[in-house]
Amino acid sequence: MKRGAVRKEKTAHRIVLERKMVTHHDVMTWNLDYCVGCQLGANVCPLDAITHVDGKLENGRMVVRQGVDIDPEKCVLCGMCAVMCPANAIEISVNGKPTNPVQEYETFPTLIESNEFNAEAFDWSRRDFVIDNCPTNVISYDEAAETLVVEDEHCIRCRQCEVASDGAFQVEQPWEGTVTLRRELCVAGCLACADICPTRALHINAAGELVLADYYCIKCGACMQICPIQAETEEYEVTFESQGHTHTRVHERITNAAVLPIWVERWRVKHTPVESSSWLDALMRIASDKAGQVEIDRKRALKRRDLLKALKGGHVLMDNE
Amino acid sequence: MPEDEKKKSTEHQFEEEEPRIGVYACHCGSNIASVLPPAEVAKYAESLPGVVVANDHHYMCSEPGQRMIQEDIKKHNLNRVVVSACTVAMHEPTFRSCISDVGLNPFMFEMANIREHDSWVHSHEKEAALLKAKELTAAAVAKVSYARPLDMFKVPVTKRALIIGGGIAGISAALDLADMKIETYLVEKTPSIGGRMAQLDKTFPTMDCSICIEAPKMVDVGKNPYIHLLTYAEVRKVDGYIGNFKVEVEQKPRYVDADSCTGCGLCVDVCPITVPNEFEDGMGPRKAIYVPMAQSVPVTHTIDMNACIKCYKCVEACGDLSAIDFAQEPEIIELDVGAIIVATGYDTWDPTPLEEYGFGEYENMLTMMEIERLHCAGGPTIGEFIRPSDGKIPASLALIQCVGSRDKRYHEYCSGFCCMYTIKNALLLKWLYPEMDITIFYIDLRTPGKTYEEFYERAREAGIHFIKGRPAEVLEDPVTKNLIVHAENVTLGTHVALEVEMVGLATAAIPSAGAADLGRVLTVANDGYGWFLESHPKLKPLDTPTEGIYLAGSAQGPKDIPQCVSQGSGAAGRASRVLMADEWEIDPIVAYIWPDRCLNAKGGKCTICYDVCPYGAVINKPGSGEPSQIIPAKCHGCGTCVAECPANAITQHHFTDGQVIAQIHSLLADNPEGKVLAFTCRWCSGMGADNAGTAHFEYPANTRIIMVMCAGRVDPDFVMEAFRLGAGAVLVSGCHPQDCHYISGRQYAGDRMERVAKQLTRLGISPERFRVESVSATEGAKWARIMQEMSGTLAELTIAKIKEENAQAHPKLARRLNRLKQVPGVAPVLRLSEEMRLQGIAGGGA
Repeated sequence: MKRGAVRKEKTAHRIVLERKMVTHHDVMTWNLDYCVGCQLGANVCPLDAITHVDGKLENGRMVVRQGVDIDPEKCVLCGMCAVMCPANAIEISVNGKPTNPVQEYETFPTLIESNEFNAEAFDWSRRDFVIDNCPTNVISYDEAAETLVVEDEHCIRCRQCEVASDGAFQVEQPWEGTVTLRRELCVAGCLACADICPTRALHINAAGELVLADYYCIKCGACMQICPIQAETEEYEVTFESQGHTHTRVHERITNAAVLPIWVERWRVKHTPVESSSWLDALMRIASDKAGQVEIDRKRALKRRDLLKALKGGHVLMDNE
Repeated sequence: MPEDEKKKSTEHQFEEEEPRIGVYACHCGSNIASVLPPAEVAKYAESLPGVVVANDHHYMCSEPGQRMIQEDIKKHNLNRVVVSACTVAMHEPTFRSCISDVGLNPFMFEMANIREHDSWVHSHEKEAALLKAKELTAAAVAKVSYARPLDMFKVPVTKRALIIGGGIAGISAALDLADMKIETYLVEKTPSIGGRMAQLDKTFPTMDCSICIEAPKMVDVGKNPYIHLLTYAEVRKVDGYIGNFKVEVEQKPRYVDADSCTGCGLCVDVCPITVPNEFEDGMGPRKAIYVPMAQSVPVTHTIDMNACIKCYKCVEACGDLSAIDFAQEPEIIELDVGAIIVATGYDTWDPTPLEEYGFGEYENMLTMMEIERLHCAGGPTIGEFIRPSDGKIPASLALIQCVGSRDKRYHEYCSGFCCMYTIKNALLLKWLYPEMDITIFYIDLRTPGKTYEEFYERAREAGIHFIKGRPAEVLEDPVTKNLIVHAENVTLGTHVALEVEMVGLATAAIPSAGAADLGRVLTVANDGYGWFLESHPKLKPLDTPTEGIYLAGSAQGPKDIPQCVSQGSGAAGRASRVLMADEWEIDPIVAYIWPDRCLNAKGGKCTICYDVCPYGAVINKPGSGEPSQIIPAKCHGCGTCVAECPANAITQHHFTDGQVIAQIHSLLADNPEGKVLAFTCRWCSGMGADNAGTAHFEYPANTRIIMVMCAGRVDPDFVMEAFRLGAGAVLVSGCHPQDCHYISGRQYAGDRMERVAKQLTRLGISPERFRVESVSATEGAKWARIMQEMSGTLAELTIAKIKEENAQAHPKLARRLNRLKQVPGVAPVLRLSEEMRLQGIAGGGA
């Protein structure tokens, strides 16, 4: 095998891509236990190195998790997928240091997201409940500091803690958009999306029915991937301006949104400023056309954020058991 | 070409004057005369039809011998000449120019080889040898009777050259041609010229810095007004012939405009994508936008679209220069050139398949090119020689030679330069790190070159260990990542288990990727290993069998730098012979299609001649109603199409069906059942028969040879006609198929003769009476053995049995061969032969 070629090691729990030159050594790790097979990574990949691996359903329940596979001959370890990954499943290190090349070279932005804990506003009697309630188990009690701490790099910003702590946790999600569940369109008895949903936004209630609590949704879209009723797409040409050039790309868009039982639409992402056509291209691949336009017209984007903030109180929050 | 075409088409209708032939038998000192009396050969020749004068001389090739011929031509008004002496390879040119000096066309000449094919191999059968000499001479007389004057073709020459490959050989050739003010295109497939030499640290045995001595030459190429550099480009199509090649070169898109790019490198700084640099053999990184090395010529950057994520950061960085152009597409550039030099170099073999050494698994197992880059000051570590596993300088190092070369499993040949570069790397490292313990494992040390052996001595004196023995296995210590080399020390007969911190493998040099494809594009053959095949290993090492295409450097086989440079200059010299001329002469022994006989002229859809031609010399328009045509300048004159043509519509000048059949009739006029008739090509097999003569390998004298240019010319009807005439046995012998001088002629001959063999068996001819063989130019012993075997076959079968078989097959053969009379030029031969038979002037005139 040629030196410097990407080597791939795949186990049930992880895919590791490693590239060893003498003066350059990079490693990319996909944690398949975190990966929900949402396709965001595959969609942004500029070299089509990532493919979706279907999960397996039995009697409407997921028995084999869906996920991804990577072609080591195409992957150049650029890190775009790692920026986008909503489940924080991807890590990259160069020469032993965790980093991300596209962010380091300001080709991709850093998504603006956070989870802040205000200890004073917290009802400490709910401590253990809040810790156990976290779907990704990233909240723990720091004995020394006598406070709750969040493993920030693994927090997926689902806002379960925010609701459970009655606002003592304040979560800022990077993605804005809509999620729609139309149970009447579901395949009878299918509950698969609740099995893959990383946030319990989609869950099964006491009556055994599928329920959507859209406040927790992080707009990853894994549910759309596992849904037996698949989205159909068509190709269309996208033209956008960046760095003084007009770019034309071929993208795909969904043509059968009306018949999809579950439909996630992303239309805005909060991020640090960046000037890069690959970012715009990626954004327009994974968000609606509107998102691209919004991105280009910042003014309009800000207006939308204000609007969203105004709407925020309007959601009906579900009770947590 | 239309004029030449016209001339040829009228030529075959030309009715020549009555033959007036002069025959000259040579004594060759005692080489011939000690076995058979040449005077008797001459005396016999006088009785043959058309012969006006016959004479003999001690040395026909000597000045008085030649003068004798010239005087006779004038005195007797001769229009044809036969010399019975030695091989055509030796003196055909001599006598051709001898007769053309006095105004005779040089193609009105034949040689009968009564030395290599007769006196030298039949010294114990003097009577039979004399008979054979007479018959060979008679056959030459028969052939020359139907000879026609031929003129060399003259083609115009485009005074431009194409060089494929921008390594040191291609660079040397380009600079030499430019010095001669010949416009030269240098096509290189990577983004920069420089080749392998640019990757090396130092050069043996002088320890010059490799890139330091090559870079000035690269720069010279870049700015020479006579050299057009086409880098990141590949030759896709070559048409035409010597002096007139039409070439299509694909310029791959670099996505950077060469005129605007200044090579400043700002784009590289902002590019987020890192991939391994091919130039560093993957030892260090490059960006998706890159130049392979600091000294690249041209400095124009290139975007690797397999890695680019199209973030346009480079466009931003380039700013007002606006050199980056994502809209670039592949472009086909058409070139007209008169000569082509192939200098595509070599690749190093990837030793991964050699599992016992664990390359690719063990981190500290490197190839020698990786070692080279690792201690090169321009390399990824800036010259610091570190172990890949931990970045420390190794305290000990083993270098293993002949990895994948001299190994029957992979490459049988010796790569030639590995001994020297292994010693060089060892010595360099010893100088850099005197404490380093360096051991070289070798099979044999081959240091033939000026001051090369002394260089090896220096290495020994410097304290480098040499162990004779090829390591059987290398194992890795999983903790320390040290490697344990297991070998047999052949000198001491002991087992060696040497633990070292790093190992280097001197891997085989292999033909560069794409050499086989390029061979097909150029219609130049590659040898069994894939190296380009030279026209003659000793006398034409820089020529290919295709005229106008030359070889330089490692494209032809592994070579070190001085050899590559000399070959580059040599190939430039060979090419300049053509390029300096206003027009170039091409041998007229080409094929010709009678338009009215071609099936396509009658609306047929025949493509046979087109399919079998390895040179693309046939213009074939099946179904158009137009006859096929041969472009004489592209035809190499193998005659394969002539033999394959189902309508007998093709002939070959100087080897017409009439001429060959005249030879067959002449040689089989007398006692055909007792003879072995051999058709050989003029190259390997003909030379093989000559070689048997030179080595004096005796074989029976009842054997007769008819030489054509290629076994591919041997028409099934020739074989059939021989059996119709009662031949005892027939042999068709060519080169070994992979060595065929006409690429595929021998292959087609083999396929065709397989069918003939089946037909003959059906006709009741014993299969051992017809053989197809391959004899190379060095296989004289094999030739003699085949001749002995076939002669033995006749004795075993007995003349009576052969006659019986022949009588049985004769009616069917005769019916089948009736069609021969329709072939232009054959009917008069058959008529004359019949007359001679009736008059009793047959063959050797018993």
